[in-house]
Amino acid sequence: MQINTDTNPPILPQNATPPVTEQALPSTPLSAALVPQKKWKLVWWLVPIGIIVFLAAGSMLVRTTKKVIEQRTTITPTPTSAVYVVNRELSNIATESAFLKFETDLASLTLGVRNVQIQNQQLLPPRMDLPLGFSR
Amino acid sequence: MILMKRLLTLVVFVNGFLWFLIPPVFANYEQAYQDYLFQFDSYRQKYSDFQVAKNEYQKFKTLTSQATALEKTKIMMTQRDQFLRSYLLVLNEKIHDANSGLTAITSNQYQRILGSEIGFLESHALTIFSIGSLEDAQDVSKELESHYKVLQVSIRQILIGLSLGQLAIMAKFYDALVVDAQNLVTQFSFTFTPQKQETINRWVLQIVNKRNFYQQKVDAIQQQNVHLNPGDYQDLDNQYNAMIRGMGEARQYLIEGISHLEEFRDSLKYAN
Repeated sequence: MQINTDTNPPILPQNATPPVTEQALPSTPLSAALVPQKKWKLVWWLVPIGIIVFLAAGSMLVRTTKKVIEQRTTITPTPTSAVYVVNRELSNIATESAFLKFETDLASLTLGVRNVQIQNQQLLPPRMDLPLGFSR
Repeated sequence: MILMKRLLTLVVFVNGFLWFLIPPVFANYEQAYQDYLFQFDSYRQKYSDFQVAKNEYQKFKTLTSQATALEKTKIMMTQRDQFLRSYLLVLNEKIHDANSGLTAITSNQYQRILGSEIGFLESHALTIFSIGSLEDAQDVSKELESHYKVLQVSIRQILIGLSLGQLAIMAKFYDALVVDAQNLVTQFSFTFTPQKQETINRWVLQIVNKRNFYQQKVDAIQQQNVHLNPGDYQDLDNQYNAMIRGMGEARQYLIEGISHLEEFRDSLKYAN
């Protein structure tokens, strides 16, 4: 049996198509073990698991927020700081009798206008059903 | 027994009718209002009795039920006129009130209207006395029904007038305060800085403006009230309610003017 010791690749005819050589995939732990169909099956299971985890996390967040709000609403009131009053200097007119009368009258008018009855409920006209309703 | 019952009914009817003819004298509005409430209760009772008698007659159609229905109808119609009359007398007392805010001309006009309506009810009551059958009762009732819209328009015109009168009292008070305010400015203007004078002048302008807006609104309502001529009862209610709302807006102008008066007061009261 004759063994071919020629190390050079064979020379192809001019119209021949070059051979397709498969390049080897880089070897990773997952891709080395998986084929594409199995990968899709794992992703399909991950979606509902992901949704459940998301909902659980959301409900926990809501409960925590509610607890915080409840705690806030049940906080006992604390004394507030004193109201800051602007001290305005009275003018010379403030003690004049004419001005004091004006002030009193203004207070009376304010009360009167707010209490004036546009529609007196006692005077509302009675609603009556007049036709006797006897058929002829 | 039946004769006694009929006699008693006749006595009650004639008694009620005679009371109708005697004009009541009220010391004040409160007494007139209490009488109105009494007449209202009496009317409700008699109307209820009328409805029972009417239903019985319409159900059984006997001569006895017909006679009973006729008696109850006459009693109810008399009381109805009495009740309406008592309401008009309440309005009359309100018009006579010294604090009604009405001018003498308006007050006289309203009294004439009420007098005319009370006269109509009195003459209507006379026709009830002569009713001899249910058909007669229907005809007499129709006289009131056909006049009722005119009566309701008159009542609402008077109610709007009375409300405008109350606003007029406040507006008069407002005007007096504006005069006092202007007098204060005149009296103490020498103490104001130019800036303070300018501020005070602006407030006075605003105060006068609000009063003018109020007057425009009130004048429009008065015009509408004088020419109130609705197509039907719903239209009457709509126009009446629109005027009530207008008066609310007029009052709001006064309230805003008063708040400006309060600012004006503070401008005078404080040095800074």
